Amino acid sequence: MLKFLVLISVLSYSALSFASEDPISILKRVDELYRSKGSYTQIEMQIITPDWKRTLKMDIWTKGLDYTLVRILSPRKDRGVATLKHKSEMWNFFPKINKVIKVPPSMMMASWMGSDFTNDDLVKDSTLVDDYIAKLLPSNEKVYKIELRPKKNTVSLWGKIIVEVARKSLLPVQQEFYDERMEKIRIFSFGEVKKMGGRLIPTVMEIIPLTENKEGHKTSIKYLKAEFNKDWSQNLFSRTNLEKRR
Amino acid sequence: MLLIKMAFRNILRNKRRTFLTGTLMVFGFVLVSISLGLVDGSYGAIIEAFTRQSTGHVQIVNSQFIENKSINRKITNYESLLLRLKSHTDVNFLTTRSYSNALIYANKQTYGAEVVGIDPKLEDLATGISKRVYMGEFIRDDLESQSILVGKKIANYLRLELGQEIILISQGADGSIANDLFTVRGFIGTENGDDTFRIYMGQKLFSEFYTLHNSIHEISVHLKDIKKARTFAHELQLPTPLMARPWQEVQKDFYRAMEMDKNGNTFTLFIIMFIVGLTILNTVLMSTLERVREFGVLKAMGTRPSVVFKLILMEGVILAMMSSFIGMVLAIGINYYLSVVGIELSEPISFAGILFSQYKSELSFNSILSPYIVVILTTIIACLYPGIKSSRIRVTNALREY
Amino acid sequence: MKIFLKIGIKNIFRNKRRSFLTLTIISMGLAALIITDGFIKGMIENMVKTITQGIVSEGQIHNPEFTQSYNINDVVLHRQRVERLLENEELVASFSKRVIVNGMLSSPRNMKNIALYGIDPSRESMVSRIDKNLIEGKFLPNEKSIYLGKKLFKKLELNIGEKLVLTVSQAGSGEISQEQFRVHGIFQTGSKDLDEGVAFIHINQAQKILNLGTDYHEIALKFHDRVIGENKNHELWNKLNSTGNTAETWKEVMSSFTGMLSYIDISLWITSAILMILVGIGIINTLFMALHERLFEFSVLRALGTKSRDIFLMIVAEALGMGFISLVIGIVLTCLFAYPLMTKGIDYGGMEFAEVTLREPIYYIPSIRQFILYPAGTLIFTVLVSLYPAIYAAKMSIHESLKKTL
Repeated sequence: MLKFLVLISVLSYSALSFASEDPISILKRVDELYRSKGSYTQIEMQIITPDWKRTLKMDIWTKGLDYTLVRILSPRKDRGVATLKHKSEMWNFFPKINKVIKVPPSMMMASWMGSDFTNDDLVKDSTLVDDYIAKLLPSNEKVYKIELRPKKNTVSLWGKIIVEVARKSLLPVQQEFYDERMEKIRIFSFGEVKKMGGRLIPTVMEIIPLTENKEGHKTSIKYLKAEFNKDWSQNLFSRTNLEKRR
Repeated sequence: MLLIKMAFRNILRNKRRTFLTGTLMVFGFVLVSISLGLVDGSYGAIIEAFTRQSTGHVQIVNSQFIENKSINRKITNYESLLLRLKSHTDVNFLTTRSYSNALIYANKQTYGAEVVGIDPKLEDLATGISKRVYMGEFIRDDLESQSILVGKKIANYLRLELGQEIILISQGADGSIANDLFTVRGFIGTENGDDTFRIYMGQKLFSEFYTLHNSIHEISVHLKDIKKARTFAHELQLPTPLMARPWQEVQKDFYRAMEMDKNGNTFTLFIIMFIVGLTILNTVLMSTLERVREFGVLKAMGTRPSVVFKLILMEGVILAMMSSFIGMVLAIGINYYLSVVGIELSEPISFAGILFSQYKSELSFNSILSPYIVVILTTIIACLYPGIKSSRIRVTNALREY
Repeated sequence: MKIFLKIGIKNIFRNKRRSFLTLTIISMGLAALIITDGFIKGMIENMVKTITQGIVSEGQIHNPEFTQSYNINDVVLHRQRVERLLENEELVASFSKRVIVNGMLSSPRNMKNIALYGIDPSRESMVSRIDKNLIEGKFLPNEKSIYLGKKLFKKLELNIGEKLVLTVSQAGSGEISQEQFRVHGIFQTGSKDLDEGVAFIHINQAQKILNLGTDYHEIALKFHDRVIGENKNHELWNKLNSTGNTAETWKEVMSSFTGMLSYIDISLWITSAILMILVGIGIINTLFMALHERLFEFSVLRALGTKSRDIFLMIVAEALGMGFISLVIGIVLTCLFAYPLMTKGIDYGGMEFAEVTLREPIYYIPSIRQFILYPAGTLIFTVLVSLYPAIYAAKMSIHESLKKTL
């Protein structure tokens, strides 16, 4: 998920300078910009399942692709729970028991904090250009449709991903994930474009899983604050900082 | 009436013949009874131990829980239901359980385990869980000590020690992040079976950890008589979405395996019964045909063939009944002895994680009733041929014998 | 003396009905004993095959720590020495190296924690029958293939040829590693644990993604003579243990099954005891009946000066003759009943017993013991049983016997 949060910031940053209709150059540009910058965002995440509904508020810091730090602000019960991601590894900090725990492989594909994101979604630093073959699909007046198919050696669950980017603003509109049978498995959709942190960004994102066993599940994210182009110090993403209670 | 008197007198008259035929019937009865008792006993013991340790006789769950053991498919407000069940005359013990999963962190390793919330006192009464704790001590239902029991395989895998603090991480019923430190109070189970991959904690602790607000997932009912499981489950009135299932449904595979193996044994049992029948037939046949002359005299005195036939049959049945009675007394004694003492196995066997160290008999209704049927039925069949033959015999022929 | 033996044998045919019934009892008892024995033998053989040809194999070698910890770092020690030893050992038919680790499989629709086995497909098929349990597709046709149990395959909602992602943590560092595989084959063993929780990949791939180098966790063994895998006292086991690893027979690996064997033994013992007692009572009864029926005859014989020893012999001869005829009938009966059991068997439809699945039908297995020991035993038993009525008749005084007849 964080990747997509980063993607949003990056896309908005690059929007003005973007003109080409070549999908590879679109994504390449994105990837280049990805690596250089840091961001801070505060989001509200609403998770809906058939059994319960909850809203989490959290702070997120990112530095390039390698580092991400998430800290939960509310609800009170989960306040202070933090996740640090460095490359392909993840640690969780639980203030209640004052312990840092490394996320084991068996949990990588499990849900992150009960949402429809998997831990893997957070960790994957696969850059779209390197790992996927992009093709511009026949698009309409409003959006570019880019089809991404995993390269032969890419480790990916998907058969294809279809990314829709708004023509005018070059902001993401929707991402659809297909399996190899070309059945749609989940949709990410972006909306409510607003100016935040000096950039025009979609401030709402929704994840809807479409498989039968996930019926009635939905996760939506709303941006409350956003700051881009930050130059965070390495210390922010250290284990010591992870354990710091707020 | 006269006929019965005559039959009795005949039985008592020839003591040698009566003794031989009678002993055979007694032996036949006892042997059939012991074989049935041993079959019932070994299966009975396995089923008894299995249902007692895991499923109980009848389980009450949220009907959705069966398909998907999700923490939210729960039983709320169960206290009134518990009271109702407790007052039921067929119920012996009740125990409540909750289920979920958690990731255990200890000694820099992780393990995904099933977590079971139990009411320690009730659970121990019903299933004797405290006896399965092989090291350390049993848990109490309090929030202070944070104590848990850990299954053997988990303990070995994570190299846990008694008194060690371990971390459990999971998701609460409300989606919250369940995380806490627990103290390993004891180790439970054997190499296989359910216990070995489980963690047990008190109900209160479970409810707190998983934010379950005093709900549970399962009520396990232990009846006074396991044979009533089906009817009990069927007749129980429960509010939706709750449902009651007898152990035969809860453990379908296990039940099927038991039934199939029992069928295999039926073959052997059938042969044993058949041979008992044949031996009785042999003896009755001979002892009757020995008396052809006697029947000839009876006929010569004007007794009708049907009366002779009845007499022979009556003698057989009376003898069979007397022998069966003696046989029953002996069989009850032997079966009782075998059900208490049993036959030691050189190495205990494990069935579904439950250890059996003895081959035991069971003093079942079946093991007493079936031999009756075998002995009396074969006696009647055995008497038919000599009965018909003797009643039809011509007086002159009969008297000419010897 | 010979004449009394003859009379004894002739007596059998004199009262045909009585003899027929006695013969039926003895022969049925014998047949039941043989068939029960053969069937139980078949059942045990079936289970042993399931074990030794399954993933357990005939023997296993591990790092001593591994069987308890299943830790990825507890690899087989001094592997070159062990391998050399196994290659040069004539008793060993073949062996297969295995990497075993817990991992996570995910498909687009679902995910499942599994035990992952990294195996060498060609070597593995010489040790176990895992490859023969294939029900669809192919058994690991290339290094990027994964071989799954049917239940796991269903749970992940996959089709043959589709991909899935394996997540594991590497040896040493514990770093997370992911790799993509394609399902090229599915298997079904009938065992819930295997069909639901185990996946096989190529050992090279397993070592690569786990950063194991050429290390592995288990060696599965197959011997030329299966007996070695049942005898933990065989010197080969000491030899293998001397490498610092723990080598175990399949009987040690499957201790719960070994326990069950003793249970079956006791069942068989009890059944034979009951059958024997029944047959014995039948014989005593028949002989006594016959004896009493013929008391007059005996007394005449005695009055004619026949020695009591001869009467004794006569009765024993009758029993012996009856025993012989019963043997023949019994064996014929056995063959009649055992034939369908030998060719068709009884299908237990994949029931699980002491962690062993009975997938194949159970066949009756004949043995020398059944056709030598049991018949001989029955014959001796028949004669032994006849001693009592024989002594009884021999000791009877003429006076008494003549009195009793009337």
